[in-house]
Amino acid sequence: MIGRLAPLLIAAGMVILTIALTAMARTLGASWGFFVERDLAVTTLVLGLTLTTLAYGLACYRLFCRGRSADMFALRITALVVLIPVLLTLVLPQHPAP
Amino acid sequence: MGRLGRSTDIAVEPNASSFTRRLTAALLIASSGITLAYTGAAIAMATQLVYDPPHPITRTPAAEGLQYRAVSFVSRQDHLTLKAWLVPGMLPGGRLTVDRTIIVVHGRDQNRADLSGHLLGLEADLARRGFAVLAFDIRGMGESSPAPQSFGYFEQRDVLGAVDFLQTGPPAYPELGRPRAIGGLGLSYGAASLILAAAHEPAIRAIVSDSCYADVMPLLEREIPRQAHLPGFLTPGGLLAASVIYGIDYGQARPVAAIAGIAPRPLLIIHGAADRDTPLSDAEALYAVARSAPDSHVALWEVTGATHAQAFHVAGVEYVDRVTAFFNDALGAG
Repeated sequence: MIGRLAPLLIAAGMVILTIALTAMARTLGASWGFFVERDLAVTTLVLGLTLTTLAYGLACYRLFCRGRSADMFALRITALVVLIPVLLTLVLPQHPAP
Repeated sequence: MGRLGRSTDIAVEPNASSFTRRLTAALLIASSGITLAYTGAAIAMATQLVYDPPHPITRTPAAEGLQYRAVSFVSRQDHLTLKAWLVPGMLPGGRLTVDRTIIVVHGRDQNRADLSGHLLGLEADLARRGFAVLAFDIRGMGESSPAPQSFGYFEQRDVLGAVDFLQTGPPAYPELGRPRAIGGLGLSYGAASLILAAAHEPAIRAIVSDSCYADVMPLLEREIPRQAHLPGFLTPGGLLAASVIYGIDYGQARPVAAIAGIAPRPLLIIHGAADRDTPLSDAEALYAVARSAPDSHVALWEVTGATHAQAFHVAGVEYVDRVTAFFNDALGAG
């Protein structure tokens, strides 16, 4: 079962790592001024998310190629979980005015 | 032969049908595509939200016939260089004073002259009424160091840096000594920064807050889609991206959560009754919370007909009279 969740676990782990590395990049770049700090942080974030997408895609592809019904079911669940943060922004209420 | 004849417990998993495979592939591609597009838009929004090119300073207190000295100091904690003017107060007979100094904090996308908010005129009027003015450019604006704009979360350190400068920095007018009392006057974004700073800096002995928002999150959720013409569901992602990239915690930029900490120091809240950017209800919420603190001294002045940060422009002399009376009561006569 864990093997079938590999794409999700890889994506979650790499996103957490990317956020941590972005915070480190921001801290390291701060002494060189805002523009360096910003460029370093954005580059780290975009690079990390690109690698995450590639690793996630590869893990999905490998599971997809096995072609079993249970793998397909796990991949459909994975697709929905990946979409949940975006769906939440649509349905969650905004902050009420004080 | 016996081995070959034994049955096995291993179940063979069925392969998915062609339809199931196609459905799965479509779902994966769609969800990944939507999430990637959302993430990209959120990062772009965050980059736009936190930085605007600064506006150059085109007028100085000299244009108002006042003496001033250009000074600079650093923000507390992160030590960004901030540029400022120190305008001494004028006493009868033309004597100068820094005895009572007001830290003036401008609004967003402005600078210490803040011509749209007519701040330079207000600084001049305060100086003519005997109050010295320390007017500085908030980080990322005017001539101060570039920095992300965080709606008070970082900018409160700039106000605290101004207090440090007045208390321990090199005096701009050595012959006048150091201020005996420090007050603060902030406009909108600057008022939020001032309240957040003053809540834990007792050296700021009196505060005038003009057109301040109570909580930045509802404001951003309302104003970003309206001003950027973007769907509202992108805003949470943009704010999250700003948090990841710049370390800004917008949830902490809540003057309404800090304002009770100002008591027992006096507080004057001013707000335009016709303000559509930051509604009057924000000032009323701030007033209610500030007044609920023990031993509070709070007043709310709703300026009829004034839009956002235009109370001084609309009320004119009455604004100056009320503000100087407030500071005279709070800081003592000059």
